[in-house]
Amino acid sequence: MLQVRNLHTYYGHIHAVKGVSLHVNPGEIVALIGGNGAGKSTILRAISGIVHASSGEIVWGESEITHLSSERILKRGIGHVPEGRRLFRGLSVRDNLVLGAYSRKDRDKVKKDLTAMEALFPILGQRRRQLSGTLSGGEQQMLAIARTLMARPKLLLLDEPSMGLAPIMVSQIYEKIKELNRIEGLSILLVEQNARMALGLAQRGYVVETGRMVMEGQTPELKASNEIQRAYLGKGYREVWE
Amino acid sequence: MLLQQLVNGLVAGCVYALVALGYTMIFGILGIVNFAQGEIYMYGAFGAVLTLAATGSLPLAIAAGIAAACLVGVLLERFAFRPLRGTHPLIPLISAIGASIFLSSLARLIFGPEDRSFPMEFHPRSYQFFGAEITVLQLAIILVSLALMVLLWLFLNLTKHGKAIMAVAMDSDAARLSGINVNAAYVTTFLLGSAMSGVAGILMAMYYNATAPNMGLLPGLKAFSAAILGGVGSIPGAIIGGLVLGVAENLGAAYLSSHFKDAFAFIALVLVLIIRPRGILGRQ
Amino acid sequence: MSVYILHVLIMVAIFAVLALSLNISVGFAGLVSLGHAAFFGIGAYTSGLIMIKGLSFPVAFGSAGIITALLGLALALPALRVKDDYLAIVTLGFGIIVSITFMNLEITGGPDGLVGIPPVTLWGNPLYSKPGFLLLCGVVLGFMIASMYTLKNSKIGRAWAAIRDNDVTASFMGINIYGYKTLAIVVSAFWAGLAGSLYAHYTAYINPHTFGLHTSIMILSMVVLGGIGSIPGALLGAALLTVLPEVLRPLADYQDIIYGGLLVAMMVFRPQGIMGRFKITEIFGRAR
Repeated sequence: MLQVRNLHTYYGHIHAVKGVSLHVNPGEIVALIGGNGAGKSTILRAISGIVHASSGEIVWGESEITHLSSERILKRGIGHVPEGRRLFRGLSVRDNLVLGAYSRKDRDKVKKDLTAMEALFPILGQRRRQLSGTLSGGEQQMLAIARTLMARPKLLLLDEPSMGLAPIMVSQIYEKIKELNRIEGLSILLVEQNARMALGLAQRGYVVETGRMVMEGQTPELKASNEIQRAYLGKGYREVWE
Repeated sequence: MLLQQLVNGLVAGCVYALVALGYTMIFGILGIVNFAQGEIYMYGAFGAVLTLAATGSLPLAIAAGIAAACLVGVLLERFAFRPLRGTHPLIPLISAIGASIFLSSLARLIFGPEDRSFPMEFHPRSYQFFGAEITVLQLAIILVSLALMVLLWLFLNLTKHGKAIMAVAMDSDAARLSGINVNAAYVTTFLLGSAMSGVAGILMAMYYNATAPNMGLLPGLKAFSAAILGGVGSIPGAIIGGLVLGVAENLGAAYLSSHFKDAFAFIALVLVLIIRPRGILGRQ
Repeated sequence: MSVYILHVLIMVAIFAVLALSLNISVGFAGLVSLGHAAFFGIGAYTSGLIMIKGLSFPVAFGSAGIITALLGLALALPALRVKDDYLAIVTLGFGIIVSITFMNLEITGGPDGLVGIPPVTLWGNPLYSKPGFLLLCGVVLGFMIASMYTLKNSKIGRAWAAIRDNDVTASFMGINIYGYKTLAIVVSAFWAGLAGSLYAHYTAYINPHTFGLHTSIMILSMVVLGGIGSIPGALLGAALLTVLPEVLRPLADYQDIIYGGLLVAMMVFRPQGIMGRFKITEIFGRAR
């Protein structure tokens, strides 16, 4: 469904992403893991149009979206929950959600979706009128995800949802993500530094280091691989919750 | 006496507030200081004065003045600021200064440097209260300004598009990812700010009966000080800054020194930046 | 050489000193000033008034530099406390306050300005000849250019360059950014004051309109046009913006239109100026 072919991006003179290719099939959860500054977020930002792709192709369904504007890409069904939440901090929780649906014209369905979001993340209903900047980290992350979901994307680009959150919060959020994938068939491309959690959720994974794709495969293979274990899962990793 | 000065100050303050709103919105969303805001104000005045002289219709004149101001604003955005997006703030600053010089000298060339009176008589009626006098025109200025401010507030806080503009100011990338057309938001901001400055110019053309190509320079700078005083980027801040400045200026001129009246705005500016840079209502 | 050309050359020389002085704070240290004409004016009025009171030119000249430098210090102390982006605005406010003050003080002659400023007298002889005055300006300019290069390549200049690029990083490296920034403003004010003195005794009559916002912008334009931080650039900018209005005199009505349009076009197409080697982002660090 989503195909990225030989993507290159630059940050000034710095070659940030060096010929990365990946794909996401409908209904899949795919993890994109790697160390700090490896370029994972940049890949997502190139897909959603925030960062300019200097070469390569990004194909969504039948059409090429490589150089489309972010607004158009969202309309076509790819939603991006950016790293660091990036909420509209001076606006209320409700307003953030409403703006998430900005590009939609079907006002009645939007109202229904607002209710659905508040059902999925009850805390958002409780704090409806509160300024989003005053929410806790976990609540903000939930709002960020809900905001993007309001656009009814078919593919969700999730950038480091666990960053800065307590493990309990992260589990809760991951539960919701699993639910969305199972019930709605939402495809997810998940970027995480926390490889353990990401591989616990995803069916497939890619490993990126310094802008290059260094490994890919089904989750079980990745987990079993020695390099991955040593680099990302800690020596002596044990299947804690399997 | 004091009350009279307050009234006069309020009138000036309302006008400063309108132009300050233009500055603060543009700075809040695009991060640039539009030094040419005073020129937009001036073209609004000229648009109205010339149309009124030609057609005799006040509503048409006002519409023309606002249209002229908006046109200048949109052209500014397109040619003097959009090509410079993402550059170091000094670059659009100098561009704005250049645009300001260009626009005012263009006006001088086209319209001539002389003052023009407003081709309409106003009701000489005034109201007395507690020893102060307020003319119908002064009252009209205050009411129109307040109405515009309220309308702006309503638009920004209660409509989807208004909230989208505020969202762009808060985080333009996140706004993009929410499907908001950031370019359109920029142009809309310029339109709103220009319309307000244009109305301010028209009101002042009526009040001082002297429309000239250089009329925008000093009020523009003072309104800018007002925006900073109130907290740049804050809409209520611009309003409060404008009102406070107008009143302070008039009180200062009456009780301290009338020679230095024009300096008060800039003294306030320097003091605010040194003592409390974020202004009265500014956040970080 | 015709009197007119000599006049233009003298003006170029004076404004060259002025542009170079602004280049110290803007180009070397990265401190944008929109009120530089205030220093020009303070030097001019100081020097003029001192000679009117009967003191000699060297005293007037020196005092112009020193007093302007002291006022620069007075500005720098509070002004440098504000965030970088706002410094330009503070200097703008300062410049306007100073020009309004010139306009309203009795001692400066109010809006009519100062008349009857005595000419430069060296060793008891008044200097009336234009070539002679040009020579004097040339000497001052020469000293200035020499000191500019010395500064630029000195430890001070390198500290300024570090601050200009990223003052937070510079402070981590142990550079006293506050002290160096203040120094830049003070030195810049000093030379501007000297330029003011030369101007006052050349024209024999000064009025506050010369030292207002328009002139401040023009001086900044000279630096920007020539290329921020570039010494030959500042000279070129000063020459261009002094000569161009003379050349365009038949088009007097269009002068400012061209000037304004030129500034905008410059920023859109070549913000690093004519002689500038780097993009402004490289000089000032990343756009914030």
